[in-house]
Amino acid sequence: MPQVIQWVSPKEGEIIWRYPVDRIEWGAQLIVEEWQAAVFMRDGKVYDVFRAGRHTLTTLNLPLLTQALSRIAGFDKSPFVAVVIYVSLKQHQLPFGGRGQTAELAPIQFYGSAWFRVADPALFVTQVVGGQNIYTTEDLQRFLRGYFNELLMAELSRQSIFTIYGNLDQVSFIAKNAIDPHFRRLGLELVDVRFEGLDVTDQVWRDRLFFIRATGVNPAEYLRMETVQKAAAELGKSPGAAAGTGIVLIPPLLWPQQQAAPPPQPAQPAAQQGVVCPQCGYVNPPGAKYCINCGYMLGKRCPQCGFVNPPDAKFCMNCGAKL
Amino acid sequence: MSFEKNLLERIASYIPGYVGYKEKEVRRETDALVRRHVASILSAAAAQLTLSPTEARAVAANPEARFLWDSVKAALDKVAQKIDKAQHGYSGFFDLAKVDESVLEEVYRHDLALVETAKRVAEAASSLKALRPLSQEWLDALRQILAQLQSLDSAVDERSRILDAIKTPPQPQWESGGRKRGLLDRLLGRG
Repeated sequence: MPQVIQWVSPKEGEIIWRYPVDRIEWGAQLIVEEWQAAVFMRDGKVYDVFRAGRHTLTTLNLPLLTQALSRIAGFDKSPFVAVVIYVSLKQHQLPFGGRGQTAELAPIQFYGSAWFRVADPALFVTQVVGGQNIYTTEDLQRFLRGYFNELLMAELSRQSIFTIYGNLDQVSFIAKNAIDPHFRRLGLELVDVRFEGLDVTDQVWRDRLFFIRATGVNPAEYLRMETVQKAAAELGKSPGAAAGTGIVLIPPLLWPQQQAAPPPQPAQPAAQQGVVCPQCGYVNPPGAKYCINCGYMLGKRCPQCGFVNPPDAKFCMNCGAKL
Repeated sequence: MSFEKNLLERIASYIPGYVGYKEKEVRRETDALVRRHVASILSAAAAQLTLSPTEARAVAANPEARFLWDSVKAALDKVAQKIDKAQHGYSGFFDLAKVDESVLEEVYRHDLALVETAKRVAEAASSLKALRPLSQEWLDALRQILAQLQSLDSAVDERSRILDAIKTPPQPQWESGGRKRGLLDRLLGRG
């Protein structure tokens, strides 16, 4: 009765399974299903990979392992020692979730699912199973989740909170493209990434988001006004000095921060201090995209993505297209 | 016969070890060899379809380009998996002791077309690297790859149909109402 090597009753979601016996006999029957690959390892090295079929193990179909065993006399008769690892080639779900922050340092909480598949069984076994000494599916999922979350947090920290909230499909597309090369390095292929939930954990940021989205005000303008409010509230706590201090402190806060004062220059023309409307000539505050007098668009609309850029922009700040 | 030999040689130049389906014992291996080879060409093509972070942000901002890119990736994955993980079916074909030469020729021609179409997809995917993402040429190249993949998908289905049809032997002449010509008929030029 020949030895039969087979992955018996695989559980749902199992990615790897190690054949419990290390002593393999020549002439053993290796049975590999269509959705599996069987990897032969010895001394931490991958020797041979078998795909679907019923294989009788001989010196012919284990060429690399036979080469390694050729120093041992009578190797083609006596049993040899090798680890057989079965790898599932199905698509697997990887739930992810964590906390991170956006480019504006807004704290966010996210969760969702990624789907991945083993693309290169030999690379996967050397990099993850052999390299990390992971032999159970639970350990493997823990390893991948940590890896995935770290990469996703790094990608989210480069994104604006407004992009994340307004165009979640864009973010998942960018995240998938950013993470896939790292997965390929481990012999895996990232099939898809989908967010199922995203939330701003800080109540203050939630209010800010709501106000900015509802009113369409410039975020930088909103933050400046918030600073003025805070400063005014703090000054209100000290009776007596409040009025004088307020007169000195509040007005500079109402305008954008200037660079460190250079040596005195001749007076700048009004056009450089604000944005002059080409339609009515009104001088708007810096950063304005529409004239506050007549409503004329002051910026440059990107022909590629439709984003409104500052009037002096040469390239779109959203997609990089030439204006 | 020489034409069939020529076909076999051409396929073997792409797939080392391809010996055809004449011998019943090696049919399954030959079939698996073709499928694995085509799947590996397509997997290599899929690995070519990558975007740098800057390119990915630009493509993500354009809904049409994003949809097209995702469609190509999905179609490539679908066809590669379909041919790689195909069931070892066609039992009728694999179990037949002898298969008609003309039918075999059709299968060989189909195998060759499958490999060559997959190679064209791989070439188109690698030439995409040289194009600027979101440019008209880049979008057209993506549409072309998508069309090639759809024809490859149909070719995979057609191959299954051909191999499945082989297991049903043709009706004998006497069953289909035909009459076998005897020696006398042939001498007198009748029927």
